[in-house]
Amino acid sequence: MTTTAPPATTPHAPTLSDLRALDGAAMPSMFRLPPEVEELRDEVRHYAETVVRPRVLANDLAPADDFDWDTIRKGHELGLLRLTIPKELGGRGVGVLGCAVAMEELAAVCASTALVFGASLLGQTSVLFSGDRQLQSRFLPAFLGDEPVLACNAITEDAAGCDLLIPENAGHAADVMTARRDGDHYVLTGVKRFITNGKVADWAAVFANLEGHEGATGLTVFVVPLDSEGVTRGEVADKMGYRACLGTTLHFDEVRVPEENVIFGEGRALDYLAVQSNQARSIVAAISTGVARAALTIAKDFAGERVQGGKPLHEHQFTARKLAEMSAKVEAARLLYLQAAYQADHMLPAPVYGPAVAKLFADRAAVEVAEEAMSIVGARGYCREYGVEKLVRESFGARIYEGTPEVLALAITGALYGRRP
Amino acid sequence: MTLHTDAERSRALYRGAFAAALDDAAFVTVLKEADLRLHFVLADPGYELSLGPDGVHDRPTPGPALRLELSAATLHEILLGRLPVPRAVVTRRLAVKGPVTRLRLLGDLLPFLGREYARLALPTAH
Ligand SMILES: Cc1cc2nc3c(=O)[nH]c(=O)nc-3n(C[C@H](O)[C@H](O)[C@H](O)COP(=O)(O)OP(=O)(O)OC[C@H]3O[C@@H](n4cnc5c(N)ncnc54)[C@H](O)[C@@H]3O)c2cc1C
Repeated sequence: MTTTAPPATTPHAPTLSDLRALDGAAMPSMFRLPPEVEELRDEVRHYAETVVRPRVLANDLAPADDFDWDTIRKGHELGLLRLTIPKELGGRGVGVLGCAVAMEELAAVCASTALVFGASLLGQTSVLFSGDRQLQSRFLPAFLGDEPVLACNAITEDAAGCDLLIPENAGHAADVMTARRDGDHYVLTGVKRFITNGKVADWAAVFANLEGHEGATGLTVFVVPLDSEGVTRGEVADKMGYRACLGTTLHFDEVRVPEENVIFGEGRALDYLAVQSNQARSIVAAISTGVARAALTIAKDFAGERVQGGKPLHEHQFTARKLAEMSAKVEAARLLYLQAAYQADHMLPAPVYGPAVAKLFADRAAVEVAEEAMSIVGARGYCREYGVEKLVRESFGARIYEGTPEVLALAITGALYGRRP
Repeated sequence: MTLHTDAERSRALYRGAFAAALDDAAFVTVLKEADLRLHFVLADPGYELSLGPDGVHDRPTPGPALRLELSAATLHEILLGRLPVPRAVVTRRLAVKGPVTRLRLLGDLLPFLGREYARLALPTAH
């Protein structure tokens, strides 16, 4: 028998952390997810399979600036845009662990859709974490209404990319967006690039350098409504993957921002970024784990059915070895992100090391597992309908945002040699 | 910061402020509802204080707790409202361990402690 139609996808490959997958065997696990996180995982898995999956291909093929509000609206109904807002404020009150588990589920179906939610949560983090109840009452209630509202996090610029993420390099950052003090306002001028949700978000956490400070040494976080005078939403990047989320250029031309919208105080953005990154990296590691898991699932299903040389592919030793290595990578990536996320929920500031290691490993696992899946599925994998080629394209995305391997390497060695906490 | 250079003097001051806050029924109610102890580890000058509805202790007592690691001088600034908790965290003057998703509760608890602390500390502050 030769397989030509795409295999019926099983929702996910068996995982050590999903006991139900092990034929009910009561395996002890280091990571029994808290019941509320398991419940969230199941809800998100259902949403991802029933709402997101049917639209994945269409969203991937759509023009770069198309945005599928309908999918996001249904995710909003589930509470995905208010995941981290505390329960007493009307949110779901989920920590980093819950967010990460939710992101794995979304990314196992569509990493790009996961990032729409992830980038919005990241934007909200600054306001939430500021503890500033006045800012919270102005900027968070929008996420609790009936209609979906998005936020974004605007750091990257044309001349300054990683320089804004590596604290030691802040002095080298070139042409960074400026913030000039003018009475009780700041005036922001500059251009942000590749801002996920920039096209569709209501407001952004914007990182700008105080006038008179070298490079990015005066980097400060501002909350900026994107309908402010002087803000223009520019072109959407025509990315090779992550096409359901819109990476947008945002132009700020003399945008006046009241001083109340400064978070953590003047010049504190690099300190904040160091704290924020350690939380966000566990979550991005979960996205990469989801991508790797999706690739493993497709490869496993295909190798289970596809017969060559008189037996299913998985019975050929080379393929068996590949599937085994892929499984090991998915499991290891998951354990690393779960551990890092657990730490982030129990330590503030979250430590540098665990999340950076988790992201470095999971991002690479995604690339390697997707590539192996492509080789197992063969020509069909090279065509769109199996979804493997999308996974290959998207596997590279997370290696760029929230820390490239090189940025992570500096964070990890910084921790190893005691340069960073 | 002469108030907090000597561990015994510093401990007595915070102990007094925390104990006074516990005389306020409203504070005790918030603390009980939070179901969370505050365990202060004051590395500089070097002592610990654990605060729960049952009193102030020199050692950790059982139960869920937020462990706050900071210097006595930083706690002084926080309690007097001069240093917001998030800024203390991002500038790494405060490390929190435990269920940190519940850090928001500090916003409800610290004003009570701050009021009593200001009453005791400010007349003698340098
Ligand atoms: C899918 C996607 C979503 C994104 N979403 C957002 C968003 O929402 N908000 C936002 O602000 N940005 C976003 N970005 C942008 C992303 O954060 C940046 O692309 C990233 O920080 C890297 O910056 P750069 O592309 O300018 O690369 P550069 O900084 O120019 O780096 C190029 C290469 O040089 C390496 N390099 C740089 N510095 C060093 C060094 N000191 N030592 C060793 N190697 C180094 C890098 O690792 C990289 O390999 C997104 C990007 C993608 C792909």
